[in-house]
Amino acid sequence: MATRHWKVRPYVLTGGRTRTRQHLLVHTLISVPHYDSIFAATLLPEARSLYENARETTSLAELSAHCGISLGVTRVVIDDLATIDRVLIHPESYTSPFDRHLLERLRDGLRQLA
Amino acid sequence: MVRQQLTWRQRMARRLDPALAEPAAPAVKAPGVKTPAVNQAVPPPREHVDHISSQWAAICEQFALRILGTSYQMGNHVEAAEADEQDADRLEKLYRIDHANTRIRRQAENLQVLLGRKIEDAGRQVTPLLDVVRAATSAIEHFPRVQIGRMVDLAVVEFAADDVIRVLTELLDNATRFSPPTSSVIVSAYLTEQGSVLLRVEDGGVGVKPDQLPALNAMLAGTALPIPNGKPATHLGLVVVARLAHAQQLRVHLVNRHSGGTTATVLIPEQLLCELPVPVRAQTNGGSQRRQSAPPAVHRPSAFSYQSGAQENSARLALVNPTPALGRGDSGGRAAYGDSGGRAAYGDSGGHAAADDARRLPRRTPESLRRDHSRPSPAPAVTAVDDTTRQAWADDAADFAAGIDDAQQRARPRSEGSPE
Repeated sequence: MATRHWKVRPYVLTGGRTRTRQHLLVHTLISVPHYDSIFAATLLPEARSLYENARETTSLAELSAHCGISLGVTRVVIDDLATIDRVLIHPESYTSPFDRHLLERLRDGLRQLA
Repeated sequence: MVRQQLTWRQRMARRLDPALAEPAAPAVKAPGVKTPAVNQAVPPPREHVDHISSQWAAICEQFALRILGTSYQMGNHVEAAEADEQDADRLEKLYRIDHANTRIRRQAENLQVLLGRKIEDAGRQVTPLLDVVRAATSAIEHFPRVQIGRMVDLAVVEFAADDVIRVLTELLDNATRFSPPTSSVIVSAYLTEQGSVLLRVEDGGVGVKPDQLPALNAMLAGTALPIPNGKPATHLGLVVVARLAHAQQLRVHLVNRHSGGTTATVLIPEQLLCELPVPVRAQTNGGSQRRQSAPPAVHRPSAFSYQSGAQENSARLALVNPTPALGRGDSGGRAAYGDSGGRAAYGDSGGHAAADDARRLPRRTPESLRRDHSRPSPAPAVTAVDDTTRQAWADDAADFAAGIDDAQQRARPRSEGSPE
């Protein structure tokens, strides 16, 4: 991706969206199951650069940094690509073996102690 | 709106009349809040400025510059906040702030245009038409309704890019404002036979009143006075467009379609166009570096600018990196024009694997995310890289030594003091 003009604001890249349908964390792993160069050519520069760089399984944060696209935009674009099954979001990378509820209680307890 | 203008002008006049010595004080106060009033009232001053006094122009320009400066400042802060934000809700709020700020900037720029001033845009660069469209979209209120159609892969040269953005901003703003809130506005860019580019903005609105259309088109063509019917506030955006079109020799035209809706076209002359800037994504790793890499020289076959870029970056590139070809070959319609020559051979997708390997290699080095300049590529022993790493090591060593000194000095008084 060439240097994007600074007047192109990030909200335009996502149509103002910030929320994602799937849970995406910075360390969530992303990969492209079947790379399709014809499909890549139809994408906008940002989506395309993310799509191409996700051919190797990469974390979201790494993708964002490598493509020079802010995390908020990366998440939405990757989410869009995932809904049309162009990229794969690896589920095991964000399911924690610990009970989330328990962890939250633990955290709250620690806060009270502090 | 008329009443508002009057009050604004009266207020301004009263403020300025007694003593012109302190016009700065009111200007500094909350420029962001004042913006709408200033903007709505802009053209009447412009009109009068020509006739009455040049002081108005100077004052308005000061306003515009201050607003612009503040907006740049705010833009930096917001951008920094956006980059770090991980929470979707807060990011959305930041986006809204950013959006409002972008519109403030646009209005301040328009104010300057109407004053007949040349705007000193920050960060000029060769801008792909896609980015021109998206930059223009950024600065309008109903940006989600703008859809990007077919886009020819060309760029607008440095010195004209921001003006084209401003022209398109106003056209898009009109298109989205005067069409149903659920309809979308489609922008597309086509290459003409003459080598110019035609930008089309198509909306599904009610259309311009047929009796006004000739006058507006005459104004846009520069053959009629800027404000045809004495109601300046109605076609404010188009006045800006007319000015800029005249300055950059763009041809802007409005047409009512028979099927309903308006089509605005902008013809960008050939001399304002150039090839896309060379992609630098091969070696970029982060935003900061992305900023540093300068856009290629204006209006030159990009093969040359690519080579000059390669010379600069030779320390971190693994020999010839065919990434520009990658960008070229994939995006279908671009093979039709531009500099022919050896690079067409890269066009097929066969170059992908090699391109990717070359692209991937630097990324895997451990420093790639941390350091911008000293990225030692694994295989080649380039002296420049060695120097930088050596320098980095020396710096680290110096820091380490300084740290030890520091610690010793801190430890000494304690050990001396302990016997007491």
